[in-house]
Amino acid sequence: MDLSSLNPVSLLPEMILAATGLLMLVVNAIWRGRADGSLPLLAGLGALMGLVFSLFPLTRESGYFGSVVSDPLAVAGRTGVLAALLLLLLGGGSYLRRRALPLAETLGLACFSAVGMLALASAGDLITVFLAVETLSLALYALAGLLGQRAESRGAALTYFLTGSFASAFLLFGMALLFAASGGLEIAGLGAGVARSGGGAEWIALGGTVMIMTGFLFKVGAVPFHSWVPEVYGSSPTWVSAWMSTGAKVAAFAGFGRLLLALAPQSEAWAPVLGVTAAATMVLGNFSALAQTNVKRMLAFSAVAHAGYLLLGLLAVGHAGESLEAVLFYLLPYALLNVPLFLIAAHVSRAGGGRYQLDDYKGLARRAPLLAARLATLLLGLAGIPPLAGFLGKLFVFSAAIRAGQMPLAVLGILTSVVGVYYYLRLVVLSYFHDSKDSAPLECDRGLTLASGLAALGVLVLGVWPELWLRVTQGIGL
Amino acid sequence: MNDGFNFALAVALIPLLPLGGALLNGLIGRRLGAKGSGALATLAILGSFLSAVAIFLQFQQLPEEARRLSFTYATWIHSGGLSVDWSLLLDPLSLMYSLFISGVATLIHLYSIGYMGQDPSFARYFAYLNLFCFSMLTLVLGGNYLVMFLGWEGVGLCSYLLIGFWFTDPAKASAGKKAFVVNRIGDFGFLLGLFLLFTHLGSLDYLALEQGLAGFPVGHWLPTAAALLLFLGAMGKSAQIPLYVWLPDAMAGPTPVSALIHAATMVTAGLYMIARSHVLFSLAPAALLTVAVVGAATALFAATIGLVQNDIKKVLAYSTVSQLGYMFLAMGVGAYGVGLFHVLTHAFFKALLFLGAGAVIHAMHHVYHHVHDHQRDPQDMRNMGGLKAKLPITYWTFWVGTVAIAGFPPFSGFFSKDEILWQAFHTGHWPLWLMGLAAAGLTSFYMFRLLFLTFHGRYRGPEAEAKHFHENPWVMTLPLVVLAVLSAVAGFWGLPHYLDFAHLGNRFQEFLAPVFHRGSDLALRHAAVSHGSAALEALLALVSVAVAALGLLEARRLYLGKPGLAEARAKAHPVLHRRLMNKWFVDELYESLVVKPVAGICEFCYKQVDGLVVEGMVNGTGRLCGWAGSGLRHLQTGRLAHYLTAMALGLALLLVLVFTR
Amino acid sequence: MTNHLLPLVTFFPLLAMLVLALVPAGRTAWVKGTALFLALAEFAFSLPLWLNFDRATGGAYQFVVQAEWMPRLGIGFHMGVDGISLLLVLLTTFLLPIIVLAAFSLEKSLKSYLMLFFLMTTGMVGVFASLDLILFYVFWELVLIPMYFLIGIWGGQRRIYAAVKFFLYTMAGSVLMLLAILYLHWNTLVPEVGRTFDLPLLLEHFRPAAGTQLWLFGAFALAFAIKVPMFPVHTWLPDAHVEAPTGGSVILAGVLLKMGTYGFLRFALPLFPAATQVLLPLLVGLAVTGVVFGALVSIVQKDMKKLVAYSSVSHLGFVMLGLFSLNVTGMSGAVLQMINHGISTGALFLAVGVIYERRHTRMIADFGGLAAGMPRYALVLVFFVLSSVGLPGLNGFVGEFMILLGSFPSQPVPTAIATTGVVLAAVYLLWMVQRVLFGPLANPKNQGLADLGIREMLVFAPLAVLAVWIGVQPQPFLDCINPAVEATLDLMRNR
Repeated sequence: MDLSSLNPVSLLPEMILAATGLLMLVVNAIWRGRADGSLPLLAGLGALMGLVFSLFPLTRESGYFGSVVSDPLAVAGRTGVLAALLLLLLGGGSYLRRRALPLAETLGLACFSAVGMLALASAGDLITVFLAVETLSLALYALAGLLGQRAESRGAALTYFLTGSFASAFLLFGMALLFAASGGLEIAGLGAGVARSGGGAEWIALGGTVMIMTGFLFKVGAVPFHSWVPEVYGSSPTWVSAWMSTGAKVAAFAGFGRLLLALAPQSEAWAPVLGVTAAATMVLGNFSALAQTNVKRMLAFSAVAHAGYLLLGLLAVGHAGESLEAVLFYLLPYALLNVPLFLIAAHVSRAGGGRYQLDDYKGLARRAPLLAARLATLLLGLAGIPPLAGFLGKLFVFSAAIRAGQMPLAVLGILTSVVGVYYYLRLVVLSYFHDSKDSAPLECDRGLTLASGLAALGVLVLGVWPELWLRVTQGIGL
Repeated sequence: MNDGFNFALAVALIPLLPLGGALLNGLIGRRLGAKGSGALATLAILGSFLSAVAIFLQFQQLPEEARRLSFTYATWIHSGGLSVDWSLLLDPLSLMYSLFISGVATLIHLYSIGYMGQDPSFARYFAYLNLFCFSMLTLVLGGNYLVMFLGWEGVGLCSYLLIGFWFTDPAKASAGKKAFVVNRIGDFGFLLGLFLLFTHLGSLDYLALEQGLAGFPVGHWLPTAAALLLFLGAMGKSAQIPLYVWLPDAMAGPTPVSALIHAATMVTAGLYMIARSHVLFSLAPAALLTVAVVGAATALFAATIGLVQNDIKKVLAYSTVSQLGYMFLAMGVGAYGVGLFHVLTHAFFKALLFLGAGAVIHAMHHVYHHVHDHQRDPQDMRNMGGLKAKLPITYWTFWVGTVAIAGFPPFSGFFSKDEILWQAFHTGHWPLWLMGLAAAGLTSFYMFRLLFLTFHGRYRGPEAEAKHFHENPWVMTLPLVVLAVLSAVAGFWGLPHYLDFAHLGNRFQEFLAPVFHRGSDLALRHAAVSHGSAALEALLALVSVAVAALGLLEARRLYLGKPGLAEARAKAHPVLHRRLMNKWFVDELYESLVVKPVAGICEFCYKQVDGLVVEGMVNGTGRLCGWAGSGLRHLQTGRLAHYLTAMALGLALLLVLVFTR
Repeated sequence: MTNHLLPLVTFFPLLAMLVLALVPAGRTAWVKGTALFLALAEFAFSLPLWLNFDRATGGAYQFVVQAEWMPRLGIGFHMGVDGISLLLVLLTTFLLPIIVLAAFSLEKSLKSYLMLFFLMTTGMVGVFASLDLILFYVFWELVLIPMYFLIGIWGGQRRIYAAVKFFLYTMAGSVLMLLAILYLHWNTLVPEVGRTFDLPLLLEHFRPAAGTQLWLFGAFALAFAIKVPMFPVHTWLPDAHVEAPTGGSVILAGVLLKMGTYGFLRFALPLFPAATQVLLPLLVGLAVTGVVFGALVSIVQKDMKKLVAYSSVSHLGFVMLGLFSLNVTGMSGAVLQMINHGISTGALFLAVGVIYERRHTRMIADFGGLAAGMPRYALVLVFFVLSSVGLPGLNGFVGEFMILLGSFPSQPVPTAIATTGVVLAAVYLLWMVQRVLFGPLANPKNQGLADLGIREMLVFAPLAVLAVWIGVQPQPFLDCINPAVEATLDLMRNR
């Protein structure tokens, strides 16, 4: 093996984030919290650098002997993850301060989980996939349990940990089977390998595939492996829920997509898995969200529902020349929409005693016009109303499903998305059409305003000019 | 064409002048004052009349076959197969109508200056009146069915506006609405008739349609269906059974309006339409028979109601319905020209009678106003009597009108009505002739009853107030006189040949001949006006005069003889009398057979269909989603064991899924 | 630069909205002035479309703009108008200043109210001018949002229910159309273009089996039928109309409903002629049911706005009947009637708004005898009622007559039934007039109501002028419509 194919810079974003994470701990160790003010700034800088190098990677060759790749999916995944992190740091600072979370640890863990996510998004072989998954999972377990003093938060961490390790087991076992069947670990070669070995190997490979898929389906919170989602998102600190529901999912889908692309030759064998889970996820996610009175849980189920749409986007994987543009496009808008919504929810519910009740939103438009406008925009985006990027995201995934000849699934999905429209609009109705109990203006810190504003703007730009984003992921110059 | 005389312009002026008058009155009428605005309106319509007269004179110099000029001024609707233009048609028929419409209208405008002078919203009144003339003249001059329909709807609108002129009285307002709606029911038929004609003949132009129809054999289904549909429209406009119900209520409008619209002109639009479509009707014997039967029935039926009414205008209203029935009878037996002759004479004497009644009401009103009595009804004949001396001009003119309509020679009504009866008889429709004859007797009775109750005997109000009566101003009496003269002499334009000693010829029929000859060209035996034996005709004329005389004598016996006789007669036949007093309960019948059921259906559609079924489905879907959601919540037990089991089962299920294919 | 005209007319309102946003909301006079100026400017920009439109080739798209938008997805920025869309665009820009002027008497946050109308104008013009299916769909959905806020914020008591119902109902209808559009995209291969959403190209190359056509047509038809609205998917309309503020109702009736009828004419019929033929009896049946049902229900309404709303159901039924006549006269009549309904019903909603502002009630029973105190108002109301019942010489008649005449040959019985709608229209509208304007001025609250002022007269004047113009000289309009309709029929025949 010649060192030319080491190509170290291919791992640059991961490196930067790892360094940032370490920096957090070091700074904290030296100055003992006296430097807390500067920590978010430092983390932000790190994330920003990482973002730049993810968007415009120094190399588009694979590195580390093929275990790290920088294909469009990687670019999209990494960008999505880091965009989410940046928004969190920008808009979530006040939340962290208010909830008196251990700043250094939180940020550090966030960075380390980010490393895992980035690695997952750009994993070139199964080992990397597993390592990445474990890295991000462990960091997230810790984050979920951050508010150790709160019982339900501890419970959430435990649930997440147990179910998570359960899933990791599937993942690992599946990888073993796939290795056995294809005689290789490099993702790119899996499909061909399976085909080559032929005979019973295909059956083993299929079993392995299903197990790996199960692992991923768990990570993205697809039905029936979703039960942890509402519990964990619902009772972890909102900052963490935002991070988990966005970063982890974006990364997982990037990795998932790459894996399935590689296994495309066998796609008609395993495609039903996607179809069934997608259908179940969209239906259950949307209808459950409809029934929630707790905004955080509603957002949790909405996250589940969106996992369902993204699964639809994977369906077209079997088609010649399919590069999963649907999934690839969806990731960034999803990140931009999801994070600020959690943060705004946290901010609004604070006034209502932190119980995340719908009533907290009554008359928001009068109490905080700017925030309400951003909230409305983001919700409409998530609901998939043009000209916001959320619409194109849905358009792409349904287009993919139809291309895959799955019209019934598309119909089911788009009808459930109407249900989605209802519960997203419910917040708009409350904040614009209802009068508030107290008309006292609800002031909003600059960070959150900026973050949500940037996100809304980004969603609008992406919606009007998607080419921009798609070209970037392809590395085509503007 | 004649040197220098611009027909196109002259014809266009006939409808346009009143339109201009209407607009002017609408804009600045209030500033002109009652007299000014009235003068403006009168001059406008007078202009139309003069223009029509000028055309008439020019027309006489044209050879017969050239007496049909059509002028296209602008395109209206051109799309696909449909092409309709703003065009006018000038022929003896439209000219005859234009002449008497503008003529009578001029007199009535003049009369209105006196009658409506005190009304605060005189400008609105005269604007409406001119607008009506515009519509009516457009109706008769239009060069195709769509322009006719424009006028057709226009007159309906003006009638609606003028009936409800005193809109603060709900009864009057709803009378207007009733008129419009009932007319719309007729229009429904009219429109369908047009659709049918256009579908099969591809045009709405009179001339094109006549050529198109030439190919059809007599009795073919298409002309029959089309004719019947058009006749439905005529029934609405010209108040025939079963659509006559709006006309009596229409008396809610100012009396000059009743004279102009609901006696002289608008109600004869249906006759015009049939005459204009005579080629079509002549191809449809079945339709013609329907027309004849409906006409005769209406003539008799309305006359019976007229016998017992006490409101002076109501009597005249039912008399109008009945007279219109005569005209339809004539049309129905194919004697179009004869029917039109009655249209003309009726226009004179019925306008006269209404204006006379108006003069009486005006005087009564004046008196009541003088003694500050607003309880008594100035239209109720039971409050009148003995006005002969008080209102001499009104009386004598009214007398002429009465004799004319009752059909005594040599007054115009005699000639026109007897010609109709004769045509009915000798075309073999003797049952219809019998009905017509009976109606003639009744007519004579109720008209003289009216005359006697109003003008003869002694004034039935307190003596004291009698001195307050005085004759109306000249603007009101002059039209009465003119119309009286016309009612007296108009008959001589249409002398039956058995009386035509001086060999004047039947001027009227000769004038119209060019119109209907084209009809008779189309192999229509019974359509052309033919004369049976003169002796028989004369004999029948004597019979009908005798019948009229009977009616007169009976009225005289009951209302000028011993008082109380009429009441005794009523008591003698309580059931019949009650039915007559209540107009055979027709309005009540429609109320319970049409109005109430429709209202019920509407309620049902709104409350049941829309409210329960449709909305139920919509909101049901929403509720269903809600339930589904809250149902699914139970899956989220919060128990770790359940979650792990779910995952395991899920995996198992997926494996089964992929391996069992 | 005529070929930049359409983008200008489409997106200027968006710009106008931003400009308006900069005006301080406190300065009402400024807000009003700016808004009116911008609205008039928009109308002025749209006039060259009318003046430079080549009627000889009215069937072809003109002022065409074609640019890349999302090339790799086959989505292009393709705009153009033929005689049909031209008039609808003009109707939209014509109504905008009127609505702005009418809104001046609004108390509650006038600025944002007006901004929403400008936003909506962009959406509506875009819908009529788009020749790319995705572009069309984007504008189509874009229109929902401002209307949703208009109803929800400025609406009456049940505004929230109405707003949500409006949004979800129309949304649910249109999503399936989106799937159908995607299906078209993936099942049409255009030589040396590949996959596309471009309408003209799809019309040329999409050749589906009759069976597939049926489903696709169904998806399109559902979206459009809800918008029209056709019986039985009409129930969102009365709620939306009753709750919406005056301007909202005017735009809703004037333009939004036309998006549905336009959709049928531009997309559903030419794309799926076979399906149209198969479903024709059903569609005609529904159209006629709408005519009669809407009319019957209008008769028993106690709320003026609800009455006019249901009358819209009836009138739009006429339009649909005309479209399904599938001959030039009927379809041209239908298009003309779209414009007419926009004028007449729009004016009627404005008229209801006038007395609602004065009395804060729309209940017919609360009025009566207004004509005595408000002669000008009486004139206006009666005028537009007459134009709405189709009095010859006014706009309504021409369209109605063409529709019925055109559909009679192919659909004699349904047409005959629909013609009863003409009678019923007179019943419910004149009865409303009678109960509102006539009779004694009994209710003391109605005494001394101010008659129409100058501003209000200015609101109604242009509508009245147009009503008479179309009634007497519809030809300039028909010259635009006829060739476009003929082109549409050719498309249907050739596929």
